[in-house]
Amino acid sequence: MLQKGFDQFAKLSCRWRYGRLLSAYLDHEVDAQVEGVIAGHLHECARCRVEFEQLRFANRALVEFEIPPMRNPQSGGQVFQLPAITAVSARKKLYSQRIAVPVPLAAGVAIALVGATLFAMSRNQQPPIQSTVLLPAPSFTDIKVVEVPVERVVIRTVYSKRPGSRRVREAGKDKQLLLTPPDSKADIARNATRKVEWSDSTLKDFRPAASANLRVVKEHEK
Amino acid sequence: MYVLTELAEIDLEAGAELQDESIVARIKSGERLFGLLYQRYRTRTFALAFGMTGQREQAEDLTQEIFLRVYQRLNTFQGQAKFATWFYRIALNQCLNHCRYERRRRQTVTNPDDRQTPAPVELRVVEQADATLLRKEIQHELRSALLSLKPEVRFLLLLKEIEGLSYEEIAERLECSPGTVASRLSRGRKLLARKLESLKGKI
Repeated sequence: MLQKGFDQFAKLSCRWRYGRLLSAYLDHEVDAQVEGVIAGHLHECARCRVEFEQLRFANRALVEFEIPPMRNPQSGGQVFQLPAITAVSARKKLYSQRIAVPVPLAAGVAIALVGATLFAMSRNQQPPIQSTVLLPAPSFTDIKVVEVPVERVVIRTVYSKRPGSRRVREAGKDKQLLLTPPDSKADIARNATRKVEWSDSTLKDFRPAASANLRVVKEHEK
Repeated sequence: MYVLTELAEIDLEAGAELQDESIVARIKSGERLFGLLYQRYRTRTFALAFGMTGQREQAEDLTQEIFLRVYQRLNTFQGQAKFATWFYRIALNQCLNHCRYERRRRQTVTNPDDRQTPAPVELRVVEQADATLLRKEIQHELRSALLSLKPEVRFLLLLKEIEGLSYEEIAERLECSPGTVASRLSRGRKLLARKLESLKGKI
């Protein structure tokens, strides 16, 4: 029983091992060493021998396949005059080698350059900022801290003065947005005791510092 | 069917020692030497075409198509590969195109006269068991078995049989690996043998 199973496996295995090589063996396309191994195996294995015979039969059939002699083409038919080849070839060669790749490439680069130039010009057309000229170049050390207590949480926003940016020009807007004075009466009552500097003049040239380390501090009840 | 007018003009003996590539270069420079290439390749090309189509007239037409195509594309031959490689590449493409076209035509054409069904040979074999008739029968079987294979495999088998090339050379001509050639050949031969079971004792 075991022997039978082993034989079956061996057959499957040899088919897998030699089956692909048999055709090449028939054409003498394998190495001398492999050829010897396959010849030995064919001597032993009936199944591979049958397969090899099939291949040899197909080869023999192909040899038997008769191809009729080609008739003399001048025995009838139209006369075909071959066109001249040089003129076409020169133009096509020029197109395929000199024009087809570099010209579209150069066109692409040129379009990109023009686009970049136009973009840069449109950026430069903005009116120069007057305030930057007038301001005496304040340093980054001018920092003002405003405390806005809301309920029991105090939010500290750091405002800094920085010249040359668009946000300095729009400092008034920022300030309006950020420091809207309390409008309801309850708020006024709540904030009556707190000292908050709301005056426009103090924050005129300041803007909230984006890079400042903002901290939320919880105020303890006194 | 077309005839190359250059054939009458060329001196076949003079160009016998010329390489294919140098002939192509001279054709490109304006000399009328395409007939030389035609003479060199026509028999092999016709054999391939006959194997691919199975019919003489079609094979002749296909041969002419291949040569015409080669001539038209001659200016794209750069000389990087061998001329034979380039030539067989074009031949394969033309053959595959032809097979595709034929298959579509057979699907659409329903007229039985156009199908070119072969005459029933076996009846006549019974009447007079002649050797030539037997040969015809064998040839018919062989042809139909070959035609039932895939065109790519058929082309490979024919290339191996007609040209007698090694796997390396076939691989180079068809731009694939020798391993692929080996496995395709093996598969094609097995299929062919299975289809020709009826001819087992006769060949």
